[in-house]
Formats: sequence, C-alpha cells, structure tokens
Amino acid sequence: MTFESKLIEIVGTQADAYDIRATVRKCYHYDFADAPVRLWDGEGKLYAGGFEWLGTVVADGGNVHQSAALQDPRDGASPAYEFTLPFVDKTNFDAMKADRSLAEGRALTIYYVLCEEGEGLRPTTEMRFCAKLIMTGTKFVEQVTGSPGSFQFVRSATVVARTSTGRSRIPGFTWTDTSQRTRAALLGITSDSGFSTNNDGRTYFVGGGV
Amino acid sequence: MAITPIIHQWPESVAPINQVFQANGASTAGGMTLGGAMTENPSPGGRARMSFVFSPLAMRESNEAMSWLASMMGNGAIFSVPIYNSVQLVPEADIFGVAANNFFDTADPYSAIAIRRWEPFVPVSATALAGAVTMTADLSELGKVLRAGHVIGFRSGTYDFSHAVKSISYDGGSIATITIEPPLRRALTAGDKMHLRPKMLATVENASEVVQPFTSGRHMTPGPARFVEALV
Repeated sequence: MTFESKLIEIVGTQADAYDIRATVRKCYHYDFADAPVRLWDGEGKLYAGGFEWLGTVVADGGNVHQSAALQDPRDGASPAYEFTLPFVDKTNFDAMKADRSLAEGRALTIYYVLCEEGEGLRPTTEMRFCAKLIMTGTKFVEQVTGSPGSFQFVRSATVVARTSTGRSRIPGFTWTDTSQRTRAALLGITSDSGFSTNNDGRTYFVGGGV
Repeated sequence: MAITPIIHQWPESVAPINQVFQANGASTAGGMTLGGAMTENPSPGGRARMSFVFSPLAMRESNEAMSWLASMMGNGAIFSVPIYNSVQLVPEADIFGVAANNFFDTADPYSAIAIRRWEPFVPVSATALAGAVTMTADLSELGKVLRAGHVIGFRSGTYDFSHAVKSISYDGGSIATITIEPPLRRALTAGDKMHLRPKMLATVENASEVVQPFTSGRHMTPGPARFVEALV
C-alpha cells in the first residue's frame, strides 16, 4: 500500500472517533561515494524499502543522530542544515575525517517510514520521500568538556547540507541565490555571479492594493 | 571493517533472588486529543529489559565473581545473562522427551569449574526474517506447554537473544505460531533451536548502584540491577 493511502486509512473519516495513531519515523540515506549510510530514528535495525537502516536511538531514549529541522525553502532562503553524530570513538572519527571527501556534493535523502502493529521492524507500507539535500561539507570537532576530575573528550562528526543547489526537479524546491553559489563552488567555479531571483524580499499585498 | 563487540559471560553463581524479564518497547509522546487526553506514539521495535534483585551472596565463589563484575559492569560491557528459573520460563515438569535430555558438559566461564548445562529446545519450523515479530515452532514433542508470558530465546553464533511470547496459537497441538517481542534480531531457518532456558545480551544500566561494599570483607549484597538489551 502506498504511504498516502495507508495514512488516510489510519486517519479515518469524519464519522470515526478513535485516537489517530500513526507510527511514522524518518529515515536518512547518506549517499557517500562508495559507502552509503542509512540511519533511522528508532531502536535496532529496520528493514524497509529493500535496505537495512541502522537505528540511532539508544537505551535511555536519546537519539545519537542529531538532525536539523527543515524549513520550507520557498521563501528563497537556503539555510545550511547540520546533521551530527555527537559522540564518535577515536578510530571511527579518524577514519571518517580521512574520508571526508566522500561527502562533498553527494545527496542526503530523507524518507518517512510508516510502521504498523504486528510488522515488527519490517514495514510493508512503501516509504515516502520527505526531502533531498546536497551535502556541501563536513565538520569534525574535538573538545574537552566537564570539570576537573571528570573530564570527557568528545568527538563529533557533522555533515552540512543545503536543501537544493538549483535542481528544481526535486519536489518542493526552488532556485535560490545562495544555493546557486554553493553549487558553483562545489563544481570548482570560484566567481559565479549567483542567481537573482527578484522574488525574495518583496512584499505582496493580498486582497486589494494600497 | 566491522566492529565485533566482546561478549562476557555473566557468572552463573551470581544469581538473583528476584527477577523479571520484560519487553514492552518504547513510545514517544504523541499529541493531545481535542478532549484533552495525551496519547503515546508507539516506537517500532524497542529493547528487552531485565531486573535482578539480589540477596546477600553466600558462597565465596559468587562473591569473587561479583568482585570481577564490579569492575566489568560500569563501562557498558556486554554480558550474556541467563534468564534464571522463574515462572517466566516453561516449567521443568513440562519439558520431557528428547528436550529433557539436552545436557552438555562445559565449564563455568568465570571459575572454570566443570558444570553440566541443561539446554532444552524445540525446533523452529519455518523461516522467519530478522525484524519480524512472528515465527513458528514445532512443539509436537511437548504439547501446548508454551504460553503467552513465557520467555524463549535463540542463539546465532555467539550471540544470545531472548524474547517474550506475546501471543501463541497452536495448529492441532503441534505447530505453534508465536508473536514475540522484541522483534527477531537475526533470521531463523527451519531446524534452528528455540531455547526454553534462554540467555540475553545485555548491558547493566545502573552499574554504580549494583556494587556495594563487601560486608566484613566477605559478602556483598548487590543492589538491584537493571539490564537493557544490547543490540549487536
């Protein structure tokens, strides 16, 4: 069943009076070159869409994968979103840092998955596309936190992504000046004059003029 | 390069006096209905949990094992913990026939003292995929002894997994279709063993509360231990 039809079935009609309970979680597909990583906001391994998604929720309920809340991009803004693994061990941190070129310019696709009771971690409903971002860079941070006697050395790895770099074929996305400049920089062009939209920053009056 | 976690064996001599295994999953806050009721949004999957309450450890062997555990538990070490005998396991009196003879000789992993383990099992009757919550087993030898609320387990390589039976239906007294929680962590094939005396891979959630001083240098009464399933 498609995601939409299953969700409509769960919501019910205006004559239904039960609690609406749809278990929907986000799945993140980091398409690093030669080494795609698939994560989801849950516990354990999820088997959906023909792939295995690694759960990032730990035993105390916290999520070790920090994802940014996406804004509607149609206002012309193209904010830089950060997706972070806040606690990485030294071996993997060094390996990721050495491989950081595998992220630049690659796609981060976010999906919704709908799980029903009795399916366990093998949902049968199709996954739904949520957003596609282009990873523009990475950030690796090492810091010492805590007070004397209980110092902690914390390493975190972050991917910086933007909603689009001009591909308006992606549903919901538009051209923005910022995304055009970022895309040009990724392609190695240093002096792109950008893209003038003329639409951001304008004020519209609805329902009658001044 | 995959990381293989080190699995430590929980010393059998450090047995609890009270225990419970539960697998009630997790949920996040849902929303508020128009009537003002808060709902919960269930999370798929979830982890199994187990609680132990200890009485004072009497034997020297169990206190020495506890001394080892005192230094092992705190940093998230993964233990293979047996589900000790309680009403949550299929009663001994109901296990007979071939299953009653499933003994094998081994040594206690901590003290190296030779022990004879009893590992009764029934065979899995059909393939089940990892992540699924239903599986089937052939209980024709034992009859309808497995009930909702019992805990069973599987072993894959060196990893042990325990599951609670949420519902069970028998087909003519032999093949049982079982709904388990948490979901299967590894795939099952026909002929695999469904253990009736299972173990689980767990970390100790509250390690600092478990360790207590040895009274007169001899006996420890460990504090209540909370285990949470380790996903490997």
